[in-house]
Amino acid sequence: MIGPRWLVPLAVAGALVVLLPLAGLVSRVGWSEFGTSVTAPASLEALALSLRTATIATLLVIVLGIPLGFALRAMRGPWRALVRAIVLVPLVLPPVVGGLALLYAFGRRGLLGDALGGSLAFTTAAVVLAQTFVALPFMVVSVESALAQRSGRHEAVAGTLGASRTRILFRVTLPALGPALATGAVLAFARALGEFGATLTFAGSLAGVTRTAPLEIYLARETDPAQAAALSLVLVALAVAVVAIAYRPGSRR
Amino acid sequence: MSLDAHVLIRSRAVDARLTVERGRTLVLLGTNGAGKSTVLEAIAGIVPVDSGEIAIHGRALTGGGRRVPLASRRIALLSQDDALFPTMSVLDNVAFGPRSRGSSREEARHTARAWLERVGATDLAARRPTELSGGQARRVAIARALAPAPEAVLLDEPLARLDVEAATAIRALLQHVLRDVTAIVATHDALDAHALADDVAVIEAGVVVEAGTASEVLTRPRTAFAARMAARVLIRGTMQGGALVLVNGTRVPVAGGPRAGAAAGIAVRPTLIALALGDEPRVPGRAWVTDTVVALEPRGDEVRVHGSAAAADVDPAEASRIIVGERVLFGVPTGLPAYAI
Repeated sequence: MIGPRWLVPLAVAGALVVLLPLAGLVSRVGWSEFGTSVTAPASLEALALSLRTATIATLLVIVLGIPLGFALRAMRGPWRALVRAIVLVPLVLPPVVGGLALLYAFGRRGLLGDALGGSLAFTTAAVVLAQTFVALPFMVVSVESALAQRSGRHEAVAGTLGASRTRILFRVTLPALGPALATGAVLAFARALGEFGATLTFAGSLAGVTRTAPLEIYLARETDPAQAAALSLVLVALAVAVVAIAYRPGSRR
Repeated sequence: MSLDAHVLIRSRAVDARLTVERGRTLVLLGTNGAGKSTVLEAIAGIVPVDSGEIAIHGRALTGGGRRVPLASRRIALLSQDDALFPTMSVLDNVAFGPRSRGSSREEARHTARAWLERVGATDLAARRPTELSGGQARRVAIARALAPAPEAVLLDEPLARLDVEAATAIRALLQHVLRDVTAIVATHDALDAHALADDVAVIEAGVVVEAGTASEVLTRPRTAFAARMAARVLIRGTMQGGALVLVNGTRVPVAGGPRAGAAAGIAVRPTLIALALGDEPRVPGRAWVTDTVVALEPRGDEVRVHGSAAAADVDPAEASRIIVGERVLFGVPTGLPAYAI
């Protein structure tokens, strides 16, 4: 598809909005001490924590988001719109508000504080929970819209061939949803990796426990700007790599 | 032992009754939109029925408020679009049914290979469904439907959307693989009916209007619609002294037929009926029926001229001179076998 010519300057402006800050970031990296900045214990610890928590959060998002997508698809009438709006709230909520909400639910005096036998807040689990909270909608939306494009014909035929619903799910539906699941998982991972506001509010910033890479960057930006820039660049590279490898919306069957 | 179905779906105006004896092939003959697919999908369990009973070999699938789930029906459906699973190889597609019915992976693959061989698709085993031609995909879909040894198989237009060569090959394949299988084949094509049917049921607007053995329904149809589906035109009248007397008084000498005074008919292929404008031609072996043109129907190489009592296939060049409402003469061959209606 080819648009009119006047789209070109707008597209260039759009690209600049993204590129200029990245260029600014790169200009601040002290290349001579890039290696030492990134391999500083604090940096490595934060990066490792980020990768670990974002991976677990992505797995949680897959396990919980797929059933939610199916549930949304199965609903009829006004319920679907209402439930969808609620499930998508983390997408539009300011992360700080999300963090507060998590605190009121899972914190020491939160709704579930007693049931959990104490507080989840300010633990690594809280980091994972905050990341799952903000990343879940990406998977739900992906799964729901991919399901909406399916006629259900393959599933029906699989049924006439004697397959149980579980078998149909794992052998027919999920493989067909592959590209949508990959998209949802990648977007969720990227979102979890960049999570800041909800994590800071709900999990705090304890070195090695809840201080993920974005929090480390935020802390280091005044004391050691070069380290902050170096770590930022690593996060950017990581995000670009993951998206480039796994996010191909055009290749959907 | 038989498949007995009464399918009632009000929203789709379907109220059809069918019976297929075990091991026989019933061809469900009807135009597009007559409800053939809906009836098959209802029997397979994909489309819910409002009421009615479906039973296979004495085992009830619906009726009395119960509805046996899809997976336990043991009725396979071959849909028009083949619906092969795009994420699996051809072999895994065919092995899917046996595996779902509890075979081990090895057994299922063994069964699948045997079926691919039966349908002549052994060399396609490793391919993906997207890499198959229409005819190849249909072969694989047939193998997949039959591989789990269903108690009945329903085929929805199995020869549609294939080129002539592929259709000819698949028709021959179906004659072979359906021999001892309880099957219902939905089609709008008289050739398929002749080639595949032990029995025929004609469906019009969701209702079975005629059913019987293939020879009964296809060569001696009792309704104009069934005659049309069998590529014939039904000429009705009353028996009188070795001739069929039409409503307008024309006498058509026939062979056999019921007793004098009984309602009877002959089913004639429209290509055998001559058409004349103006005076009655003096040609032996034909009885000329005066009629009015009701419609002109283009049918590929020929145009079918429909009257109220008969129809004839004529050359398009000739048909171009005929107008609806015009008086014509249909030359019906004499001596055709008449039967009671």
